[in-house]
Amino acid sequence: MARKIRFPLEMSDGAKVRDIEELKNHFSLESMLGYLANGKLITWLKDRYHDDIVQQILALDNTSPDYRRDFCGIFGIEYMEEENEAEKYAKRLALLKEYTDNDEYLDVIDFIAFSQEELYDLLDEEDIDTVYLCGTSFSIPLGRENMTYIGINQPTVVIHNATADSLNEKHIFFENVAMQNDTLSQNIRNEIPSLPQKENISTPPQKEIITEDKDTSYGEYCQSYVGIMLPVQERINAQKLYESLSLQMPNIHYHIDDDIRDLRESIRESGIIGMAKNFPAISS
Amino acid sequence: MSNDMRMIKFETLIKDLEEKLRHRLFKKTNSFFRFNKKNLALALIYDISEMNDFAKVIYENTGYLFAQEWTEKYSALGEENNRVKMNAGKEFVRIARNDTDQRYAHKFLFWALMVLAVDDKNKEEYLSLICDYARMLNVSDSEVMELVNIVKLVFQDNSAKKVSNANVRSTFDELLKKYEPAVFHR
Repeated sequence: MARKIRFPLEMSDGAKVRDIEELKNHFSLESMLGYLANGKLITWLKDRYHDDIVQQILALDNTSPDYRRDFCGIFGIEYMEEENEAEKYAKRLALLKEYTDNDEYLDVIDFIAFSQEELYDLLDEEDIDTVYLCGTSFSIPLGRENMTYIGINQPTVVIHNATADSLNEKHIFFENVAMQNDTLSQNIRNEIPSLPQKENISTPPQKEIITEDKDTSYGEYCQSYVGIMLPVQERINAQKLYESLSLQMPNIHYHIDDDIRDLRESIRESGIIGMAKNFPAISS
Repeated sequence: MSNDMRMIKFETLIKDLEEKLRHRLFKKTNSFFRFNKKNLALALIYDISEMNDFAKVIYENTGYLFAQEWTEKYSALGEENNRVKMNAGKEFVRIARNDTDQRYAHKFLFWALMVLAVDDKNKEEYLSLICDYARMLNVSDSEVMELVNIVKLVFQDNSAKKVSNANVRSTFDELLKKYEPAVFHR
């Protein structure tokens, strides 16, 4: 009898899992849902005689808000919900409170780097010119010019291959930080451009608050009840189409008067409005 | 202009568009197809109860010419849960794909985009569904962009271009005869 070939499933960490224990050890919810959508997960499970798991998966209500949790539960995996914005904010607030009770930093909490990774993320934002540093040590990249770095807890700042002149030329300024580490940075410690006073530091750009106009920009593509019926490649194509359309749709503005605006102005300019008030039959 | 007048004017616009689309679709009509009073297919994408007044005008006045069996089976689609919608969607796609010139798919997506143009509530969710359906219905990206262009033409948007895709033109030719000159001959 020909031997059946049992294909492995590749998880998001690159592991190719061949049995249920490996699958649990390298469990990736997104990978699993992808394989579920294209049928490979069911085939993989059936090939390994896990029909009981197949039955449990097929019995799930994929429209249920607990679908992902229930799916993970079948494999004995604890489902970790993604943090929402409020939770993220609360975490950052708690972290800040560990370093300072100064409430003035609450206004700039979105511009505080608590780690090197967060610093890089903030520097990715083009319209930021001030970053607040809160942590032990930060490496400052010279590639980002016109920046002011303000320490909250006087963190150590490491700058490689820089001179006072090069910092001046790049308009990179510091406040309330300790310079250390690199020989060059040690040398320039006292030559750092004079620090602007706190009140003179440009405040970080605040997120624009639109009060009258509606936000017409589109956010991320959403998984829908239809998406699960699409093969993986088609779902990727749908996302690409979404990205194209989300650029076009905000440009469509429907105003009920658009089609008559020119005509209305022409009639108004013609002077016929109120013209008849001098007409004898009306004015009398 | 009073709100009532606005709605009447908008309804007139939508009925005019629908009439021009029916003109094309009528050529294929046989006993298998019938007009619905409402555009039931839109309930595959939108939560009808959440629609604003303009979107409801579209839903209620663009009776989709579709398979009678599907229409009757899912006559209460707007009130159904996602599981029923999924089944309805599968059957809808199967039937629409049998239409080789894709007129039903084009019309379905066009009205879905029209709703999005007048009602942007939950826009990410609904646009994602439109894209998913476009893929399921095998409507190409360029054709969908042409449908967006037609929405722009209807709303006399200055960035609208002439519709070049022959397949899409074929579905919308009566509509384009009226609305292209309105934009390009201003």
